[in-house]
Amino acid sequence: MNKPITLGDQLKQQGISRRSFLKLCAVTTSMMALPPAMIPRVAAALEKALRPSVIWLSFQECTGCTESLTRSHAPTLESLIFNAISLDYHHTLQAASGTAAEAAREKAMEKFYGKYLLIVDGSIPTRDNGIYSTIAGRTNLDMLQEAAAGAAAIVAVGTCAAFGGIPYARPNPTGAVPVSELVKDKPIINVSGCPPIPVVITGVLAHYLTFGEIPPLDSLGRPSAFFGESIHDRCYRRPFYDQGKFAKSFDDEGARNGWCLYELGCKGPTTHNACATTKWNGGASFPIESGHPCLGCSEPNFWDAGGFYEALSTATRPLSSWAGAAVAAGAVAGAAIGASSLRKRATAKRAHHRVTAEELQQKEDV
Amino acid sequence: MSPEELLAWARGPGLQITVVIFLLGITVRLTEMWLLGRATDFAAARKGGAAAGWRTVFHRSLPTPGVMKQAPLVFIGGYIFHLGFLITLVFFVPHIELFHGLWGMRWPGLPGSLVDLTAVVTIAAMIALLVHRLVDPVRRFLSNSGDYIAWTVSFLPLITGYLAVHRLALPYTQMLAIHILSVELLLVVLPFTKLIHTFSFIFSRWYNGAMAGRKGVAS
Amino acid sequence: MNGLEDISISIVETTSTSGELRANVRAILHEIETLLGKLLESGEGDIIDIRSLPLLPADYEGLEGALGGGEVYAEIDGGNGPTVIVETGMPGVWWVSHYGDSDEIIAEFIEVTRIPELLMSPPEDIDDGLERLRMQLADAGH
Repeated sequence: MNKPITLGDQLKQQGISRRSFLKLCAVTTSMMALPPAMIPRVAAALEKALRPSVIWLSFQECTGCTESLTRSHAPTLESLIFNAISLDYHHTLQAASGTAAEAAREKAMEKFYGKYLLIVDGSIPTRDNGIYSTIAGRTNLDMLQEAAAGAAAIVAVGTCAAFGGIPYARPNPTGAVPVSELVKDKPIINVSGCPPIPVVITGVLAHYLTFGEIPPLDSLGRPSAFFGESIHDRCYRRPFYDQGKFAKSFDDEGARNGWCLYELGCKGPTTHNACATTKWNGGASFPIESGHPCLGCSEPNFWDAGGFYEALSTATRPLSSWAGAAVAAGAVAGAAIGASSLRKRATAKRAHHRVTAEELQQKEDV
Repeated sequence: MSPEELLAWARGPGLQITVVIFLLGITVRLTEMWLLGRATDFAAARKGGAAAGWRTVFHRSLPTPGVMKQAPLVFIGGYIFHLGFLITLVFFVPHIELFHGLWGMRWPGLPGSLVDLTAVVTIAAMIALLVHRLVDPVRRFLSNSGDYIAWTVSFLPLITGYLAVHRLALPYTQMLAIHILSVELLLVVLPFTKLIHTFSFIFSRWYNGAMAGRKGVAS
Repeated sequence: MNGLEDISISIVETTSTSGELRANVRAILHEIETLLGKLLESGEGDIIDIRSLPLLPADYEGLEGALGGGEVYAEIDGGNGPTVIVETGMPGVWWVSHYGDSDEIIAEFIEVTRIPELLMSPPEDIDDGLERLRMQLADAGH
């Protein structure tokens, strides 16, 4: 069997100079949100990195995550990833190949059993044996179980794969579940977001490809390098929040002055993502900077966490009917208790026996 | 339960349950109070009773002459607590948003730093009052579990709110959930403790004022 | 796009401007000050990843303005997008901009050093070049 070809070998074969390779390492290090002092380590690792087989399974999703990655404004980063990996299966990108694509997937899974990286986007429906999403006649449920068995690690890209996403939202008619609910025995990296910031996806893949291990994760399985801080804590509109300057409606005076969007429903305080620092579209802007409150799209259940335009401090369920019923019931109960107390008092009054002088005399004589 | 689920519960079903128990409890107690009414006074009234009652409702919010000499700490601490609690509740913008969602009304809020300062002063006053209650022999003797429960459920929303805003103690989502749950605890406990005075103070002040008015005594 | 200019918005600076250094810019300049001192003392340089800093566009421009332009301009074209390396108005402080294939900046660094590593010819490339030179000489005239 041939010696597996490393990334360093491959780049040399493509005629890429050492200097260009070093540029690539600097860019990759920055992409992984690592300090520049790590560049030599990254260079050493990338040189020896083997091109792992990557299988990308798209399940119950909108393809936004694939779009986010492939339509990003930094195609050089994507070509880096696609150079550094052997993407052996992606049914959207390979749609024209039909059954040949399926055959390629099966071959790759067999050849690299235990060593391939499995990328999943989309949730997995489980109701009625998972019939609500199938590829080439096989349910997603089935495909995931099979693919996960031979995977070295799994990257759940997008909130649907990481936490269930929009199919998981009430009433969840297809019984959609995230990857982590079905696969319990493999390391899973949750790269959440609806969609995730493209450079976050590539940064996580770059980390795995460079170091061959998963990056440090937070309590929800998300890489802490990108999901460690909340939007609120890095938001450039914080001074307005602190001063109590809020936009009250879209396009009002406060909104035009760029004031805080808390009252318009911004979920920044409870949302962890890199939007406020890394931003979108090559660092151009992010929702809050464009005047729209944060949806909280990288958090579990963000679709059911109260309306997008209701402030974080509001109630998420209707209260007025409950309140009305409670007051009515209280009035009735209060009246009943009050009436019974009044009756008791009246009875006691009636039963009250006036002592006469004779009775007192009798008691004294006894 | 994850912090996110806890927060979702607190903002959702938790609030529904709380509102039911809170309103039910208050309505029952106030209806009861009102129905039990008062003993008939067979003496002829001196001045108008009702007007004197309403005057008393407002007049009793002012300090009693001589209280500064008698109980300065409770007097000052009490005012600071009541005013501070109301200010942090009513003039902090996230709270205003909550009320806006419930009742459709909005009013201007204070800058966050001002509310913050108020919260700190209120917390300090509450701690001073508790220490005084524990240290002073007469007050300690008079205090029962109801007093300490009332203090605790009133203190928790203030301290958890402060910790949440300043990102202390626990991660924000968790701290926010705990803050909302502490408020729900306060509301659920309120009708069944001395905290009912929040709503019944009008009744008792009016009644006492009216009785005093009938007897020709200003109150 | 028509009509965008008609939308009246006022851009508010979140910190004071007008001649004064913005707070973020001042912080970075202090770090550069420390690194320059270290460079003179020990000869050891360091790199700051600009992308890792939470800079507003105004901060970015402020930093560029504060550092100013210098004597050296270099452009590297290695086939995967150009890299522009410029010595700023402060000698020893270099601004390295990596571009991708479509004119977008994919990484940016401030290097405090006597010469950025990318401007030095790597031994591996020298080796490859030597091979080619030998082959050229061999083909040409033995």
